[in-house]
Amino acid sequence: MSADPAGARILIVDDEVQILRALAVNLKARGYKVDVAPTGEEALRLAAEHHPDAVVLDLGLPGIDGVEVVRGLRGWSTAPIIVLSVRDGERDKVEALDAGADDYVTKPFGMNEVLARLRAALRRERPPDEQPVLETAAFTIDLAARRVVRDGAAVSLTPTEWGLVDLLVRNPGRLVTQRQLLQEVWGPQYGTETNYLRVHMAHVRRKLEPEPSRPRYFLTEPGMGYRFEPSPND
Amino acid sequence: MALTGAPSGERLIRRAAKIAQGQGADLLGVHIRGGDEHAGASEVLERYRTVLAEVGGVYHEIVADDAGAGLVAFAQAEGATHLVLGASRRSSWTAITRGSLINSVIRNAGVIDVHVVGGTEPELASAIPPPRRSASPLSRRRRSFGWTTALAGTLALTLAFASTRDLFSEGSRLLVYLVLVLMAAAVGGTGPAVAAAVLSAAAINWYFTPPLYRWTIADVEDVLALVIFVAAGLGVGLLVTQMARRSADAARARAEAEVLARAAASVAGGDDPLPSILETLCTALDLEGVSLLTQGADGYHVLTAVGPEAPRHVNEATLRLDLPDRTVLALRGSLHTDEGRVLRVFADQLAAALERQALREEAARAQALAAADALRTALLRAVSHDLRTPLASIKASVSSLLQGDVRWSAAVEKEFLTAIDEETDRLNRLVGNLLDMSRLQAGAVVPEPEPVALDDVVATALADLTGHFEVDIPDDIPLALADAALLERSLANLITNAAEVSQGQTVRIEARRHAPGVALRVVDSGPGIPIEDRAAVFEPFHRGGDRGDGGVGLGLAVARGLVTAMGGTITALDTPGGGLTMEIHLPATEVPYER
Repeated sequence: MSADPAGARILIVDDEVQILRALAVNLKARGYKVDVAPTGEEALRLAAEHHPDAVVLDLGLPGIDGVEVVRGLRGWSTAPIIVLSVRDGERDKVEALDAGADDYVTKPFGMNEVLARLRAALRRERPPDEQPVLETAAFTIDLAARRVVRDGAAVSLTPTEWGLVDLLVRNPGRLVTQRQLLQEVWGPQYGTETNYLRVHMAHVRRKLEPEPSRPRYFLTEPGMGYRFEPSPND
Repeated sequence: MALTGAPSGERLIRRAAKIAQGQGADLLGVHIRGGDEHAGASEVLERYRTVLAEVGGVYHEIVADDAGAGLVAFAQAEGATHLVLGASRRSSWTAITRGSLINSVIRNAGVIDVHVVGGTEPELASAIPPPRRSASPLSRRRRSFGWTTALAGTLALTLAFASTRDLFSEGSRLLVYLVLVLMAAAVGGTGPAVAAAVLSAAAINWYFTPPLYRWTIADVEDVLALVIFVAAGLGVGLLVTQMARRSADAARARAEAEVLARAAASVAGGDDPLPSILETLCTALDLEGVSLLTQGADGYHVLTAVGPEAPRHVNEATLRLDLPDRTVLALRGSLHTDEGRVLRVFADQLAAALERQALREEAARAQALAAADALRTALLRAVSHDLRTPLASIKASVSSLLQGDVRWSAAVEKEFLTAIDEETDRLNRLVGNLLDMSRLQAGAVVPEPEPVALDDVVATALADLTGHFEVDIPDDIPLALADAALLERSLANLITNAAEVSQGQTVRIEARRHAPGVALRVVDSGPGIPIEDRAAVFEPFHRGGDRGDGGVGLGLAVARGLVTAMGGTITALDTPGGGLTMEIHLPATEVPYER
């Protein structure tokens, strides 16, 4: 992966001292600047004061709830928000994402995973000319020419399939929510037709994944959306 | 379709069902009871009910003295289009004396088609009572008074006039007799009026009209006078009878309206309107008893019963009316022809009330289920939070240590290991509490009380805990009677909770004599709990959700469960100057304390 955006300022919000400490130590070891807040109120205060580049946020907080913190931040900030929570219900995830969170990791989590998600979130969406060709072990995508080559042969994608692939590949490693995909590919009046996504993602996987039934590049985040993993390590 | 109690109505029912099917219409079976008939051919009727239910029909009973008129009235009220009757094999003689049911129905039916099913009915008349002769609307007392006036009055008047023959003119006498006839008519109606007129005419003829003491009348004018006399008496009598009938009708209509209004009002108000509707019905129709029965697999059950002689079974009923959902309205007492309409309205009201009740019960059940479901969800959520939070800390620390791209300093490494150690203890306590809780709920906690030294227990409880503690246990405190292991776990939970809310401030643990036993207190100076919420803190996971610190929800519930199991009590009190004091009361032993 590309180098860490060293010096980025991260706000960590969690009422569990141990988690707070573990996250802070890890982030500092990798060159981030870190603020910690045990409550939502403190988080909003620190965010207003230091304008963090990203926020790692627990949902179950004493005082105001994590989802409220997301809404409060989204009122003025576009900094990516990664939710860390023991709540694993689909409703909880959708509520947090709809409120404006960018990613959702359920506890208990591995430190590597959180760090990878954070890196992906901090990467700005690349303009198409910056990286027109993306190469993976299984296929090559030329975003500018709208061409996909697999095993030396061109793969033809329908406009809808291309729309999905394009949006996901431009956000490598990042969660793209169901709503985002529907609205960008189908149109702004869409948002709940998740069955469309399932059907067309199945087509994409059949055309691009080495093993369509065990996808490695185009991953489903149940209840939340999809994620493109450019370099699966397994 | 009209049913009699005669044994072969089955064919009739099946024919009627066919006709109803052809018309796409509903089938109603009707049994007409005479007002004075008691449950007679009930077994046969019960079988008909079953047959009727098989072909998709509904059974009704009505009370009517005139079966034909009653049947047609019922059919019109139900909006029936066809009436199916069994043909009679009665002799012509019975038809003449009792009237033919079929003719009466056809005469009255109007727009309703009448079908007569051919001769299988052995004796249609047997169960249908003869039409009662229409009685006078005047009361018996009034009529006998009228007869007395007619007979005794004529006699007295004749005697009086006979002894004062020369005092009055014939015209005056005639007028006085006329007054008497009118009086008899006004009081007793037609019968006494005619009797009085005839007797008076005879008396006048015999005693006062020349030639005297002979029935012949000389003057034609006198004959005319006598005829007019009788006619006037008859006319007034008829008028009076008619008037009385009208006023009786009006009174009944008024009473009916009143009763119906009461029935409607009782449905509208109240949680369970059934008893009050039955009460109204029972009073209105002056019945011995009314009850609502439901038909279950093992017979009839009483839903509601009103009146001293309320029927406990359909067989005890004078009349039964079928309501929806296998409910039966059973009435006992004497019923009258024209109460059918009122009864039907009551039946409708009861059906509506029953339906409302069923809906209400269903809503309540759904609500209870939803509440139980919500509670279960909240509990699961809380357990999941409490289990995952320490796991998350452990996993975060372990995965940090495992990372290859960073070299941790010895201090940081120790910090991660300490976190893992502490969180593992916390997880262990939580699992212990969960196990204790399920044991408590399963009744599997069997305390073994023995004399226990409180300072030992406190020391053991504190051994695994981190925080600032101050212990104050006097030397002369008696031994408590408790299960040492259970007491230690309760105490550990109370102290853990106190330490968490105190945020680094000292938690005091003290023991005192507290007649008749000992009191063990855990005193914190945290934020405290408002009095109204204190009972709730002992509920498992009362804080709900995943806010606040883990373990609080279960700890206090387990502490109370264990203390209660060994015969103690636990109370939440105010700490003077702020905070919460948890006080455990335990029985003490008289064994002197030894050190």
